[in-house]
Amino acid sequence: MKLLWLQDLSPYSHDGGAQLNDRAKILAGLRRGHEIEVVVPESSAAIADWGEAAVASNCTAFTPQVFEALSEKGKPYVFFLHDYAPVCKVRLFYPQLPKCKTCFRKERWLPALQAARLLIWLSPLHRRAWLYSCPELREHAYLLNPSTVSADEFYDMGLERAGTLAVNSGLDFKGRVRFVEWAEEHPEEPITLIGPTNATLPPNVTRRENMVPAREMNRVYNEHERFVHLPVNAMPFDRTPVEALLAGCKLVLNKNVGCLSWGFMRQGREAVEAAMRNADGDFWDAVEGALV
Amino acid sequence: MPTRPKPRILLNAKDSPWAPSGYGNIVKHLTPRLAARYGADNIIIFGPVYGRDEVREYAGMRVLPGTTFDFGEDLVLDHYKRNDCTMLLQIGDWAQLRRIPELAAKDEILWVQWAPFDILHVPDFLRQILKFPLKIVPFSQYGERRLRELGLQNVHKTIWLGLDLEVWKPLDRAELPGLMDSVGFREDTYNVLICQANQRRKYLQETLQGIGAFRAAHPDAKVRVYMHTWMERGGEANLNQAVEEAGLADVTKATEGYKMVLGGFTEVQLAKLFNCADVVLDCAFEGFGLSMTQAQAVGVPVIGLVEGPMAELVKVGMMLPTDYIDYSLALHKPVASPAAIGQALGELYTQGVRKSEHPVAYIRDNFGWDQIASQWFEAIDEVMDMRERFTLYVPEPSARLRRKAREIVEL
Repeated sequence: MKLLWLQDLSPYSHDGGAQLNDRAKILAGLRRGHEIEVVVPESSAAIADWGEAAVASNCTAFTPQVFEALSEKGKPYVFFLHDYAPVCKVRLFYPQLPKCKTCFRKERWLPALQAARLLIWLSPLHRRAWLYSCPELREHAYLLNPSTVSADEFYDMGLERAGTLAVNSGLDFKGRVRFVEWAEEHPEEPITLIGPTNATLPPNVTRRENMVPAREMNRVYNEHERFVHLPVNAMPFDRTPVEALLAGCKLVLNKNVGCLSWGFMRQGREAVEAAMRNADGDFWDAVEGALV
Repeated sequence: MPTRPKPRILLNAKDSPWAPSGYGNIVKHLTPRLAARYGADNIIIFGPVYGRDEVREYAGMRVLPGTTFDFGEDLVLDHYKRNDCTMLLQIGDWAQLRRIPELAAKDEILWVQWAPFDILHVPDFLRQILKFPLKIVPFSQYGERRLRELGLQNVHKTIWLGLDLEVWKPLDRAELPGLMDSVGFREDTYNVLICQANQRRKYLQETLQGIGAFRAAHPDAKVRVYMHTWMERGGEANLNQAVEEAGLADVTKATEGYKMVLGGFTEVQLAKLFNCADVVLDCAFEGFGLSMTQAQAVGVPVIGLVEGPMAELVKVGMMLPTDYIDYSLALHKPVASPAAIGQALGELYTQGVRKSEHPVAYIRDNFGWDQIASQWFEAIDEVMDMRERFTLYVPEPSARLRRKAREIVEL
């Protein structure tokens, strides 16, 4: 198939979770013989005439009219949803309040979502959170597909471990408040926090000022016994707990962690590896089936 | 419609409520009324120009200091975040703002601008700035029209600047002999008052030339001029010299500028001064023109420029046509000719147009602070509704999500 891949940010030049996942999916798609053209907001409008169908990834910079135009041209599309955009302006801060059910953004985007051939969510929790404000999508064709984390990149190195690691837990939407509370509840536990924060941290938390390159993260996980992640908002997936588990860490999570809503997370490393191995294939099987 | 929470407003008019200025008076009169409606804790006054190094209190509201003699943009975000504000109400000049538009563009602050409009030709970069306030509330209907003509979708209806009507009312100047004498006015003289800042864009030299022309044409008028301004302010025109050049040195008195700066003139004294005049001149292109409404509130006619808000503020007076556009100033200004100013004075003088009740009722019906504040309540409530409707803030997660955040799972 000739596919348009709609994204706010190019998966080839950004390293956010959504872009990493997209990159893996695109590579898998190319291996299956698909031609995939990434379309970002700066792309020429002429690209819309190329391709038979579209995968809409993170596309908050596109408008519902783009999808109307695709439908008018007879090009089916699927939504590959990474967070709560496009129906929630605050995305990963999606609060699941009663007013979300009548949000103006839902009004604006629901038709485009309902016209999609398939909706892809990253976890059962991700889908449940969406259905809170969009129960209209309950019967819609869907796929639950975990983010792809490579078991070749994250594994137990057999290093000596100590303390607890947190990654980006200093950010509000990654659970800064609960992280600080947990750190205060465990004053004897030495904790390393990677990532930015404006929070005042308890004395048992040490910040690593610089971001760690992705290829070095396995070693960082392997230096720690535990990994903590306590978001306050419902997270669609969360790559870092999966990475930490594959790297041999014990996990301290809460019920807002998306990947935890997958059964494989409680079934041990082999189950996680299998799920990761199958993720790309399951994705493309479903997308091909929907777009044919 | 979800329940509208109370706003928590950071109000920045540059001047503090104690400043002896137009903007200081706005803060002084508007904020207690906002506090009465929304709670004194929810109105935080930022007075960067006159405050340093201490937090003061005004009518139960905190007044926060600044570090720079301007709009305090370096501290706006800190004051906003640390006081959990939900709205920045910025009052006054906006063309010089740089950081506030950036913060608003990034949704870090919710910006409402109460805005004068005294720009003849709006360059593109200023048009871009005007996109970022959630609401622009114009000082004048003239400004409202001009802003809408720019194609902006965020223009609210006009809210005029108010007056303390307990102070700004007609007084019999026969009961002000000491003041009349001190400013050089008499009952048998034609008493011309100018109450404007000594700034190039006010074209005070042209105004004085116009008075000189009138005096020359009407020697019987026994012109007397009083200038409530700082005559020789550093970096600005030497108005004493301008008075000399206009041939008015023998009939002009002026306020002691230094005393003005130290806040030596109250609003009550200013209102009495206006009551002593036969005519007030404000010949500049004004964003509002407070001296016009002040003059009309005490019944005194006004001479002003046709370009700008004069038509909606003044009921008795003369409008001056634009003689030329001054392109030397960054934001081009229309300028009236001294000849036209002189002619306008001549018209009012010969027709015997003096102080009257006619404009007073108009001012009393439309410019009281209670009325202005009501209009602000409506605008603020609308902003808060928009804030809720469009979720212009990051909401707290639901109680259910917060409960789930506490349910620990260990693997």
